[in-house]
Amino acid sequence: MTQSERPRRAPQLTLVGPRTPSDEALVRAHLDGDRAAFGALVQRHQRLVLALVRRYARTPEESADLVQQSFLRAFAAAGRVFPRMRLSEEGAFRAWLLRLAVNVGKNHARDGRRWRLEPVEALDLPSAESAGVTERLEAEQRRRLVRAALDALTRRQREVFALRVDGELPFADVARVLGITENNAKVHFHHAVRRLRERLGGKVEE
Amino acid sequence: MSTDCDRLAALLSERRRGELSSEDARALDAHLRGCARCREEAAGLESVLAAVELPPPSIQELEALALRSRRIGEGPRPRSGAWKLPAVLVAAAAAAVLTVSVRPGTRHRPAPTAPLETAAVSAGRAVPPDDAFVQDLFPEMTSDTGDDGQVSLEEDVLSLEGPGLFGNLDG
Repeated sequence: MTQSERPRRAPQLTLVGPRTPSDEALVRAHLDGDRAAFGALVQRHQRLVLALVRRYARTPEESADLVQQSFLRAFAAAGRVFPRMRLSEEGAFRAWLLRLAVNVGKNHARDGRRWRLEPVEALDLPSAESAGVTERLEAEQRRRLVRAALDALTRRQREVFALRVDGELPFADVARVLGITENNAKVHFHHAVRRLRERLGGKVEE
Repeated sequence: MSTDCDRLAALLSERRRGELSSEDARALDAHLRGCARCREEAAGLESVLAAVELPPPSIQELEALALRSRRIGEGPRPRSGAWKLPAVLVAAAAAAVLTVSVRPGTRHRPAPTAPLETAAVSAGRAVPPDDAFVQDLFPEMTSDTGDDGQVSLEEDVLSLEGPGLFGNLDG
């Protein structure tokens, strides 16, 4: 498929631009005991966290569960992690949160029982409501194949893949989140996609 | 092999999203013309890139998310008159809430999440453990620990503290 065959998608979930107050100011406020600060961080980042975990969910409710779980884990670790953050560095909180969310999705995927042996009626695939049963089953089958192939990637490859493909972040942003160079992020992505191709073969080719 | 060979999928991904400058797009085309290996590989990589993309979140997903976080925007319940919300955060939270629509009365099942008591204890250093506050943040959360198969909260957090993660952190 070439670029011209596919509509260009706006990077809706990329969070850029100045924010007031900054994430780091909210983290400081949380450390100072401001009970609203963490809630503001949740509101700000929940859509991007949703993007990173929804691949591993079967239903809208499960997607929301994983988002909630990500923030719960962030909240639980806040007392230990926030004081060690370089709060003078913009993006420190976001980088940490996004990696945590990728990890939550991965952990969820590891528990294969979540999507085994469930009846067809239980399928409530995101954005597939209007499709017929056959199409929904095909879509779910494809999602399973991709999830299984993703499981074979290295941790770094999976992180780069999730941030780029699911989070729709530019590679410069992916690199910032992971603390690597942009070129390194691109090389990891290349090897991730090649590996996916090897595992998926012609199963996903359109 | 040029450096572009090792970044081919990334360059194709950038081209799909219209992120390549015209100069970079020309450079990619030139590379594909001159590199038989990449030319042969490009179509397969593009198929994978197309196949792995997810559709945008559905209304149902956004509604489920909004239901989970609605109370955050409403703010914690007043307790002992000690809690004061800075005006800027009220505005930020209100703006965030206005961006999503919530269907009143929609019910969904309780969330399978990590144990409440673990979260409250671990959160102790920055903000005093406060079950009511956690319930405000995560109103659908239950203390049900039936999340079998999950890595424990402690293990999960520790697993994040490996090399690389704290590139943005002190220590």
